[in-house]
Amino acid sequence: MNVFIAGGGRVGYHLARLLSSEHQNVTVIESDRDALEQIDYALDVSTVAGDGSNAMLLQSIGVGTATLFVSSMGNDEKNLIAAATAKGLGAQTTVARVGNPMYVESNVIYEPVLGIDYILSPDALTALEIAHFVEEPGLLASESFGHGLVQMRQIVASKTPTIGGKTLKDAIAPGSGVLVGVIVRDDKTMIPNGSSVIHPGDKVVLVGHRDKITKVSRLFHDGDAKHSRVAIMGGGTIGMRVAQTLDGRIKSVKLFERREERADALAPKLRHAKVVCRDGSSRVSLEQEHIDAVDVFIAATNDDERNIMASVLAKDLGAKQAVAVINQPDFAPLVKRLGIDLAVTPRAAIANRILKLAHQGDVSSLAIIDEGDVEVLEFAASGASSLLDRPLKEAAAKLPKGTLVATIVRGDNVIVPSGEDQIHAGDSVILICYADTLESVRKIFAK
Amino acid sequence: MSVFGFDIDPALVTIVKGGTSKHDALEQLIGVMAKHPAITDAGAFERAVFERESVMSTGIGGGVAIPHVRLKAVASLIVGVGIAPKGIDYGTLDNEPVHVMVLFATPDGADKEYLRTLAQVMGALRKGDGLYEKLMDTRSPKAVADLLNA
Repeated sequence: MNVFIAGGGRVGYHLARLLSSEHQNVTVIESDRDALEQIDYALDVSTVAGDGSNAMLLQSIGVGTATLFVSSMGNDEKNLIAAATAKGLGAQTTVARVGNPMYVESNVIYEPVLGIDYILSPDALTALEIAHFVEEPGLLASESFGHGLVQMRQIVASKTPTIGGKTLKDAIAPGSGVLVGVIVRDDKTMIPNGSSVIHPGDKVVLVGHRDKITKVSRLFHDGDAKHSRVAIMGGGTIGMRVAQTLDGRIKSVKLFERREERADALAPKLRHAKVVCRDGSSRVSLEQEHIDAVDVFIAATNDDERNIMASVLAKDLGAKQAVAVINQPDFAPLVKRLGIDLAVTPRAAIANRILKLAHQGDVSSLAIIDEGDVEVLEFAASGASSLLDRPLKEAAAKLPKGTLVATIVRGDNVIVPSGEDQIHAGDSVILICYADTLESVRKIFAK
Repeated sequence: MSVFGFDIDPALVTIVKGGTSKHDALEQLIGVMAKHPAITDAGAFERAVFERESVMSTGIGGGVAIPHVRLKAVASLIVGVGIAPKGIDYGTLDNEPVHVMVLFATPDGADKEYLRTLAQVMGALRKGDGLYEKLMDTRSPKAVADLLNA
């Protein structure tokens, strides 16, 4: 894959890192010399100095050959122009990152007018993730594979089936039709085997038959009651969008916005949600606004430290769960240790989405776990002749280490395979692999 | 003169029952459209619709949703219509239930045709002009098509 990224800031850098770890051919265009030097030094990518919206520059570096062009500079209009230009020059898929919600909300018109494939906003995607967390408690992500027959769910384990010396293979019977594919613990992502154990607090990824997955996921968390009351701190783009999304859908939404002018502007745009013109990070206002009755406190200002402090405070005062928006990824590992239930990083939200779009062509379905260390993919088996018609325990030797064949879909059957099962031509295979081995896996299936 | 500027095939119209989720409603509409010969890869079509929806709800407000995809697996522009007299909880920013879904499937590179059609559809569905309200009272794909093709 040939990828061009205009803008090497937070999002561009992160995306470049993810794609280069997959051994894709990545070029980053950046006008800031220092930033460019840093990218050159840290990542295995090509760099070009210059303005990514300059058509002459884009033409001269061969953007027309791009399979994916992403513009992620600090200016919406520049990003739109760059992506439109790249598309015009022949780039296959183009993505423009924007901050102004208007561009995303009107994408039904902007995209075809400008010829851009996707106009995406990190804030909108972050808000979507938070609203999802509120509406589907315990479920971090879900994805369908095998024409909807197979489901993947990422959940936080509040309890564990591996107690009293039990391991995964004892706890989840082979016939259950579901498998634990990934464990994320202390920010480390691993693909488990039968002897792994689960700790409460781990994030686990379950893959299996859509009718069986709910029963197995109950082993990891109780059927959570729906969250019905939330308080949001910060009426910026993310906070406001979360409020709008949940407004009227759950019992109570309270939005803390300390700037009076902004609070006055927001209130008329919400129907049932209440705008409180107070500081959501102060103990007095949280207490007086009955934070102890809140199911989820959402800290969504653009100040990471304030978000973290307020979340900790809100939990201390009785909020059942806390979500913090974290821009600086270095803080993310701290967040869990402080008892914050979910940290959402806008740059990861958009980078994961773009990565998914990048793979849309050759993989039929894909899920990216956390910051992109592990990916879940679905391939048609036909091309992978070296794997076909032999027991998986032999075939597995052809796959990169750590790769897990999670399920085989054969007609309407979903098979969670053992070492004796075989892959046949015509099957669809759902695999879990580490990002740095993705290219080798892809090559095996592309044969 | 048909309302959308072209005739709607009743086979591409579906009536969505009350209580249907957004996901199921989209699936129902995708299902009727996937049978059309213009859709050359039903799986890719379905994935693209849901992928678009996961990035941003296509509910544009005022009870109307315009899910739209542009992909190679579409041979020529086709438009499907889903009518939900009881409304669908669609997750739109104005939080109004969606009653009319118009799904656009466009081939790569047909942007001009898509835009022209889109403008016509959006114009025709403005609330208060009567058509939206009349659509609410229809109970069969044929009745919907008759109304749109009148």
